[in-house]
Amino acid sequence: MKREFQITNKYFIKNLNEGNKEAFKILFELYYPKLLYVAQSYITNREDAEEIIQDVFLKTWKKRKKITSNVNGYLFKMTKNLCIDYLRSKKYKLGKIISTGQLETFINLSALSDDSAILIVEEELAQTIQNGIELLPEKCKRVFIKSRIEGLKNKEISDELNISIKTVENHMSKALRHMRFHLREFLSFF
Amino acid sequence: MQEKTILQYIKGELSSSERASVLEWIRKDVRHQKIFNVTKAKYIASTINCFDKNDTKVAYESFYKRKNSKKKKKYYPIAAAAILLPLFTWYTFTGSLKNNFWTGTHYQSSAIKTVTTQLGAHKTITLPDGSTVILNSNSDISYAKSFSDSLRIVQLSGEAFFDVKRDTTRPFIVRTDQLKIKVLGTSFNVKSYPVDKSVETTLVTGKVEVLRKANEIPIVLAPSQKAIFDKEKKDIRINEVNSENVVAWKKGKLTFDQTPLKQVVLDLQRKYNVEFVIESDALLKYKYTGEFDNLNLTEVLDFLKLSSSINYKIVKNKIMLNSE
Repeated sequence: MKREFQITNKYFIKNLNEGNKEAFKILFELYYPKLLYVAQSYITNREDAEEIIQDVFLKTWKKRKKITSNVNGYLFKMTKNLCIDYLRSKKYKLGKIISTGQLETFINLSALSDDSAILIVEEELAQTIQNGIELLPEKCKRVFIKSRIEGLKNKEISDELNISIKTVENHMSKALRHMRFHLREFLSFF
Repeated sequence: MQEKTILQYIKGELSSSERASVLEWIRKDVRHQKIFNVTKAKYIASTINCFDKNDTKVAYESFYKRKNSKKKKKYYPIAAAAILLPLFTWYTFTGSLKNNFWTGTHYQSSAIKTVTTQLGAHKTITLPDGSTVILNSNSDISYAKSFSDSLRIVQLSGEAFFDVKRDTTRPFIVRTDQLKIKVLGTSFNVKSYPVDKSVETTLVTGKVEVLRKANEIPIVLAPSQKAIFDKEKKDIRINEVNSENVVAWKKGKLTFDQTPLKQVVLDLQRKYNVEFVIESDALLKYKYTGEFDNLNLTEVLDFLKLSSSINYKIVKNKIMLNSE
């Protein structure tokens, strides 16, 4: 499979390293709902899961210079580790009485710490993010990547690909329509 | 154990007794735990794209604000200790150590304020967002001195009437014994005394959502509806009520409508700071209807005697109730 437009795209990573606002926005849009879903599945408290994922992105922002091409693994592992910390802190606070909730904390903690099991989720996450981008028609995809991932302006894309600005705009709106369809969470952004 | 049952457990489709047996099975053997780990991971992987409950836009705004603020954020272990410490006292006191439902970490709180009322007293509190709370007797409420950007959370034990300032960007959440009540702006009453059998939420105006767990579909109340959560049976029942009566305690009134005498007595104890003893078994089943409008204790007892078959005598500061 052709993999030139991966989330690991070097321009995209470079933009993240430089703290490009658009690049971070797209990273957030792509990953937030999915990471939240994963966190919530293991820690069950929605608000705390939300806070954990906010932390994931804040930490990623602070350490943006260190992001490498494995941004998927980076975000996922941080989510996993923060959830583990959370469940651990909860385990100690609960005292000695064994309740259903406490047992669930235990088994979820074990499930999160099971590297081979959790890898299934990590790989699916990478795949599903990639699919949303891969499925775009070729030209459309190129424009989308240039614009949203590499952060070029419409004029720059038009110069680079030797197409009119109008065509760039058309490709963009087509790409966004596609993203709306394949990645529902884009709905609220564009 | 069948994979189907484990999957049902993961999806949250089992009753509490079935859940307990799945949990027991998982804990019994590391191989079982392994099966659970993999089944759960596969289930999450297969549903990761179906998650459409998205508040991503709001979440992004919150992230954007936070990443640009120079202020150092407190991370949860410290902040969690700040909120858990005062709450822990209450937690232990009520013996609800088993219920970990609301041990949620409150990340942004820098300082927690707790207001307490004695038996027979009321207090009116203005929260940092301008919302007002009238706290009934023998109750306490805890909240952060400044609310976070995304949520307004208060912890209640006892009874309170809330008049919440509308702020659609920051939901207002009342955490209480086994339940959460979520609103945007509205007025409502929450009664959640540790010794009572149920948690009652009554809506006066606006809209509120009642949640048992963070990820379940909330129960939405309309004005003049009361949600009664039975702490033992763990179920919620909705009644149509006269919300004026429910919040009449604010004006010193006690109103009962087909209320079990046991509950009536609990309310009277809190208001009058006296101890009641129900001496006859027949009275335990008795349901009382009546209104005590700013009466003193003697008047209440006489009224009770007149309006029902309940007789009383006072022995060593305790009020003994008997059927005639």
